[in-house]
Amino acid sequence: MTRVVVAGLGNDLRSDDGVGPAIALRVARSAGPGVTVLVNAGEPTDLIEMWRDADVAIVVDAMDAGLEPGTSRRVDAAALSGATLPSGASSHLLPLPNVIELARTLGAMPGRLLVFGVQGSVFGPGEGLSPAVERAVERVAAEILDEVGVALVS
Amino acid sequence: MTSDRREMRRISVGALARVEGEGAMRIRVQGTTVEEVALDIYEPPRFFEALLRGRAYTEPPDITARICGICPVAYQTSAVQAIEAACGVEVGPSVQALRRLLYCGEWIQSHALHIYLLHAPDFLGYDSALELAKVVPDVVQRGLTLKKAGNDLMNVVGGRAVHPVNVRVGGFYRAPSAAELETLVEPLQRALEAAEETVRWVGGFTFPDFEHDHEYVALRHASDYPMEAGRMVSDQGLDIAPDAFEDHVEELHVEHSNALHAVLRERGTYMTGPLARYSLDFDRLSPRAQEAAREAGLGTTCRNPFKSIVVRAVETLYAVEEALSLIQRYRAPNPSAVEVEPRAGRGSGWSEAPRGLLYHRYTLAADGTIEEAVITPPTSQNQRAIEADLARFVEAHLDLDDQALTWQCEQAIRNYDPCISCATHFLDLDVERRP
Repeated sequence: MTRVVVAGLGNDLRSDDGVGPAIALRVARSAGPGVTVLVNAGEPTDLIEMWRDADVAIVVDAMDAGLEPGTSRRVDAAALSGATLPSGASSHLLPLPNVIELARTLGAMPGRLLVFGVQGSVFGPGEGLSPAVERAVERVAAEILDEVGVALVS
Repeated sequence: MTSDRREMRRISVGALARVEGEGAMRIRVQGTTVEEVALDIYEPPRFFEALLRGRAYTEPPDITARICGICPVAYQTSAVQAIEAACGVEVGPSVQALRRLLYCGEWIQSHALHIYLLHAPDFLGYDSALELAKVVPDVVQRGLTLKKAGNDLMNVVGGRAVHPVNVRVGGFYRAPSAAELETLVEPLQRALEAAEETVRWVGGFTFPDFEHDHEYVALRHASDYPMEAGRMVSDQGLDIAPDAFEDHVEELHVEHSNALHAVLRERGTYMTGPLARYSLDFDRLSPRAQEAAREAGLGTTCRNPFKSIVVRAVETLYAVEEALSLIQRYRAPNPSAVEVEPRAGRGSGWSEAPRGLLYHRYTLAADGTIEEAVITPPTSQNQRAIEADLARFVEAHLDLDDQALTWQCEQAIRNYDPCISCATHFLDLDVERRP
C-alpha cells in the first residue's frame, strides 16, 4: 500500500507562518485512512524521520518569495538541487532546502517529495492568518488532496 | 595573519535574529590585554514573566513551554513544581516518575541535537552538520537515531515531540498505558548502543588545553542523578532548598546586554549545566555511564568546558538507561493528576534543563491568579562564566589569526549549549584593526 505523508510546517503563533499547519489540518479533515497528516515546527531531524519511509511526502510551508500574499507554488523536490547550508547553520530550525539536502546526503528521502509554498505577508508574533493567506488555505488544501488522490491510486 | 602586539584587535560577531532570539559577541584586545568581552543575549523569558501576571495558576506549564523549543519539558517541570509548592501540594511517586521519564526524553533529544548537529562539526573542522554528513553519513545517522528515541518518548508521554501538551499542574492530563510505553523499549535499546558509541566517538576528539575554576552549581538528589528533583548544591558549600534561591542568587543588569546576569550574592560568577552536574553528581550516575566516562578519558570531575561534549554524551547514555529502567518499573499514576486547589502564597521550583538549572517562582492570589512570576534560565546564569572563559581563552591564544580565534571563540560559546545557539551560528564576522 502506498504510504503518503502530509506535513504542515510553521509556527501558528507567528501569524502567516501558521499557514502550513492550517492547510495540514484542513487536509486532515478530508484525507481518508492511510494518509498521515502532521504538523511540524520545522525541526529537521523530525522531518527526515517523518518522510524517510514514505512513498510520497507532501510538505506545505509559508514562504517569503516577494510574490502577492496568498500566491502558492508547487515544486517537486527532485527539481531542487545544490542547496547549501549557510556557514555553520544551526540545526534547531533549518530552511527546507537545507533539510532536503541533508536527507539526500543521508539517503533518507521519500520516494517522491512535493513542496507547496504559500506567500505570507505578516510574520510577526500573533495568531490568525492575514486575509489573502486565509483565502489560500482552502485552495491549496484542495490541490494537496488531489495529489494525495493521485498518489493513492498510482 | 599575525597580530602586531601593539595593535588593537576588535572581533565582533553580530547575529542574525532567528526564531529563538539573538546573540552577539564582541571582543576587544589592546596589545596582549583583553580589554573587553561582551556576550549580548536577547532573553525571551523576561517578556514571559510580565505576560504571566494576571493569568491563572494552571496556565504556566503551557505558556512557559513556549519559551524554548529545545527544552519545553524543563520549563513545564519547573513551573508545575513551583505552583504545587505555592499551593502546598505534593504529587506522589508515580507522577514524579512519569515526569522524570518525560525529562529523559528531553535530555536525549536536546543532547543528541547539540552533540551531532551543533558541536561536533566544530571539533572536526566542518562548517555544518551537512558537511559532516557528507563525510560520515553513518555517524550523523546515528545521531538522528538517538534523537528519534527521545522524540518518541516525548510523543508518547508528552503528547507530541515539541512543546508537549500532556503536562498539567498536579501531574498529567492522561497517563500513558504500560503497553504504550512498551513500544518505546526497542528504540531505546537501539539508542543505548548508539549512546555508548557516541561517548567513544566524542571521547576521541582533540580538546584545547583549557580549564576554568568557576563555582559549580547543580541539583543533588538523595539517590538519583539530578533532573527533576534535588537540592541546589555547589562545590563551595552551597546547599539550599528552592525557596532560598533568591536569597543566594542575584540578577544584575549589565550595560551591554538586555539579559540579566545571575551571580551568587556571596561569591559572584558560577556555572550550571552538564559539567557542574557531572562533577557534583558523578556518584549518582549508573555504573555503565561511569564506566563509559572513564573509558572516554574523563575523571570524576571535569573542568575543561570543551569536554562538555563528552559529558553530554555520558548524560545521554544515562538518560536512555534511566528511561528504560523507569519504563520497566512503570505503574500508571491513577488518577493521572492530583487535584491542586489554589491558595494565596509563594512557591519556587527548579529542575535541570539540558543546559543547566532552571528556576521558577510564582506568587499567587487566593483565587490562583498569578501576581508575580520569576524565571531564571540557565543561559542567564552562565553568561558571566561564558564571558570569563572567552576572556581567558583569547588571552592565551592571541597568536591565532582572527579567523581561527573567532572559530574557537564560537566553539567556546557552544560549549555551553546556550539557547542562542541558533543565533550564534549565523555570524557575520567583522574584524577591525587599529594601529
